[in-house]
Amino acid sequence: MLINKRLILAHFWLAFIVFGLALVLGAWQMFVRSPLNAWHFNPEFYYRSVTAHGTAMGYVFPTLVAMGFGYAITEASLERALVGRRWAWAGLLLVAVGAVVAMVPVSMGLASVLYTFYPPMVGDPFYYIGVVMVVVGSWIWVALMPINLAVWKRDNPDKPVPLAMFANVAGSYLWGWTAVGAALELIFQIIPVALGLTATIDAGLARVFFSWTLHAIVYFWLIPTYIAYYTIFPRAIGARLYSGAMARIAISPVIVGESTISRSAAVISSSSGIWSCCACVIKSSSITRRPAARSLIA
Amino acid sequence: MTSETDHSLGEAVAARNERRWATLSIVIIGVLVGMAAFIGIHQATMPQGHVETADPKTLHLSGEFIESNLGSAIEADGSVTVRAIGQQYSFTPQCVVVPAETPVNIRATSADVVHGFLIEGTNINTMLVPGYVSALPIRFKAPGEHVMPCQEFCGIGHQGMWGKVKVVDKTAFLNMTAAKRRLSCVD
Repeated sequence: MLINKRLILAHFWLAFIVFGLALVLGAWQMFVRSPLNAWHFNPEFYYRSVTAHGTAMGYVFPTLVAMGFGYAITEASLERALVGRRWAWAGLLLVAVGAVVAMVPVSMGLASVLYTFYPPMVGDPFYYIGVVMVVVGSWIWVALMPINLAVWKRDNPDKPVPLAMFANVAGSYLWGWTAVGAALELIFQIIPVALGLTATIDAGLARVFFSWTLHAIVYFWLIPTYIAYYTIFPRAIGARLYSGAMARIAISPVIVGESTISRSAAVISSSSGIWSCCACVIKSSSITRRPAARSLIA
Repeated sequence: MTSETDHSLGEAVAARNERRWATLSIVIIGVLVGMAAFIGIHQATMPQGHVETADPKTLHLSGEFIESNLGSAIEADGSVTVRAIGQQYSFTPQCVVVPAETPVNIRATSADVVHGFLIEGTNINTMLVPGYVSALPIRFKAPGEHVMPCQEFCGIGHQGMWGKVKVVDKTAFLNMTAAKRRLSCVD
């Protein structure tokens, strides 16, 4: 049951348009680096393209997919309309405008710094401002997910939170916390220098801030996939999730591990999470009669 | 037709499976944590244990990274210290010479932006961050040559930033040090 279909589809349309453009750049990058084009390599255009490709694939596309998917999950699993529809549109607008603001200087060759920023290298301030707008737009989504859960919980105090919404809110907490590192780096270190307000950057501190975001960003992208594996996928193959509690236990260490900036902890927690996920789906196919197991998404 | 018996049987099967998979998952987590701890302790995958700084603004004027102090030098305890800097878009020295079968301490930093420091075929893979000294210990097993590309994007000329490490026989290296205090491949 999806009520705000236009909102959700707008996110996906924009996401896949950006994805399509980034795909073309990626293919071109492979071509110019291949022996087919060996005699003429223009690094000026190449790094411009790599920056645009990375920004689109790293920040814009996955953020839009996670946001659109999150809104869809909210309406489908809670069986009610999204609270804060106007805020959601404002978030989408911020992401879209931010993407354009970031891409203009990159296209002009004024910010070939790659999406991982690499300070003390500094590009045009509008590139960073655009990325900050994308992140702030996504924070609106981050705020809307727990708000929607709280509103539903108030009206349904005795019902357990649907698994899809549990993972969705967990994912929003993950991104809300994870994005802080890159935001601090951009707002307090890079943008002041790019605008000419300050003259120096502590590159070591910048690395610390970025590593706060660096690894966990991948899991922010993956949470929608996990949700699909746990809720949509079992239904599609005609099986049922054999244990909602196990699924919740599997998702929790992923969130905690990712938020602790420890790479090994993150890898361990997420691999165990994926493993338990496979286990849930595989084993569930043999237990279709269990009356307690019910479809978790609709 | 489903019956109550079927339901309770299903419950029992589900509970048993839940226990099994939970146990297996915990065992997997235990093994992975153990592996991570083992690798951290027994192989040199430990991050640098302390922070050392070097002001990039005065790097060329004073301190250990002045030009005449770059390259390989033999220490009193028989180990070799290699000092190097990365700058857009080259390493100094461009070719590092080191002896085989000798403890080597690499100390490197950047004079401008972030660079990468990677010696192909070895465990050396770090960043050169301006303002900070990257210090890494290594022991080269046999004479030979290793490429040393910059593997962190450092600007438009990044793809052309390559260095080289030449590992020579220990005696040959000691003969070279007799003539000169700081060594690179060209000496």
